[in-house]
Amino acid sequence: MSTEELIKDAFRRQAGRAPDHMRVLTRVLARTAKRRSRALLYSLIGAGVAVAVAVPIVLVRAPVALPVGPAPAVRTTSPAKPLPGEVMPFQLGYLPDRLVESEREVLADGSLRRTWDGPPGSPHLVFERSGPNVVHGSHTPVVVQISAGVEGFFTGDDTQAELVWAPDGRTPLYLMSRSLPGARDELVKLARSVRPDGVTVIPAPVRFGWLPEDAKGTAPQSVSGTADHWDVRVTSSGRRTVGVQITTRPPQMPGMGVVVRGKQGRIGPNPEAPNALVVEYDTGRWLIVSGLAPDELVRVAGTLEISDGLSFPWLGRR
Amino acid sequence: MTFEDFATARLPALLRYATVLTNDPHLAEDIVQEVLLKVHRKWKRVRDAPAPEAYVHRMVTNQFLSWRRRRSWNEAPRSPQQMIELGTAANDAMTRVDDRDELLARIARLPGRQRVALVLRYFSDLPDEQIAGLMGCRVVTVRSHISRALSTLRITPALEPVSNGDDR
Repeated sequence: MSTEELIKDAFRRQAGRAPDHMRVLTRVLARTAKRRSRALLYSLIGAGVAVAVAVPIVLVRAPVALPVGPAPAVRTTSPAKPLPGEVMPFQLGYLPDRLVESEREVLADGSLRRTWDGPPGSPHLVFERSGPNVVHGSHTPVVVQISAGVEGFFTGDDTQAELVWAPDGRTPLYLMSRSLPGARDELVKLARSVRPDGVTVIPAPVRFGWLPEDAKGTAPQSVSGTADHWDVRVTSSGRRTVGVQITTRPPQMPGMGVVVRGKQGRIGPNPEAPNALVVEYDTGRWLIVSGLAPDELVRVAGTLEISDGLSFPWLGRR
Repeated sequence: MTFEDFATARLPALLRYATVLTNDPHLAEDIVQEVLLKVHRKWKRVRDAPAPEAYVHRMVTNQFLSWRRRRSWNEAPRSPQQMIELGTAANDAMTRVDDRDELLARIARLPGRQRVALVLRYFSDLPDEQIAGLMGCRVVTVRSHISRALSTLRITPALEPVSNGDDR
């Protein structure tokens, strides 16, 4: 090997030891944050730019988390047949008083969201593993220290507040609160309580079969309500949008009769659409499909894949 | 181009360059971070420069040379990680230091400007004219730096290409 090659080889080896550029970038952006727009910050966080600090450090340095409740590890699955869905990588180890879980969503950009609400006058809280397009808030963010080496970006006040951070340096997390007293401290406390999850499922129990070409697109899903009375909502949006709802509340069933999935249903106007197909496809489970022509509604409803035994015991719990 | 776009795009290359230049990833991180903060403060001037990348490259080089001037290179300019690694190597007779690491250690003891010239030629693959521009000196000076560096490294004649460093 020639001298030049020896030196080049040694330099290449040394270059391979370069520090993590994401860590440096985050530090630089944090130190220049006052001059920059919050949208860029958040989008960078969303792209995975954050301080690379291991989760155990967060856990060790986090304050003592308040108990979430007698059954903090919420599970959406039955032992026999888990519902399809996405798994949350992190969970909160602390919740403000009186809040219970009211909704889980897979958003169009892939974000996974959990929502908690309470009795009238209670705060509203959203915890999200954000997708690639995290843009929230409307003010210049304030850099807050989540733990050693992990910074977050806070914006808002007690009326509405938001916090974005990445506890492991690559997973952007997002908290949003409404009507939360001491929002800044509370959101930081919540962020510090975050711990690895890997079990909690954001369910996606409905899958489209046939769709008109102009209605094909991403299909965000949500499950909301209580353990006894819930709604699953899915939409697919192209030039046209088709909406699917499965509900435990008996809807009105006006219009003409039609057989769907082997059951007697009806197609007619409903409060949300001029044409909606409604059918009790299983006992106490009503399927509503809207947004298309009647013949298309029948075909969409007939080809939907719906998980068996829908049950969401985590709704209404902490 | 915004500062953020520039930083995002150029940071990996700047860190690699600084890591080779300093032979210390931690120092490289500090130097590049300080340089980027300076770039941010005068972003308009950097952005409007004929070659912003070269401009910042030069800033990193100057920051390194400035750091070298502020402290004696012989006073253990090592990061904790390097000290641990060196300590391990020194205390373990069975530990064989990689030839490349040995060469890097020798390069790290070169005078700053010789080292910069070496890195710019053999890592950045820049022609001597461009190295001279970055270092703010004449081409002949660049070649002199490289020639002296190679001489100091005591590269064996068998490995030494004829006129290496002086005929580029």
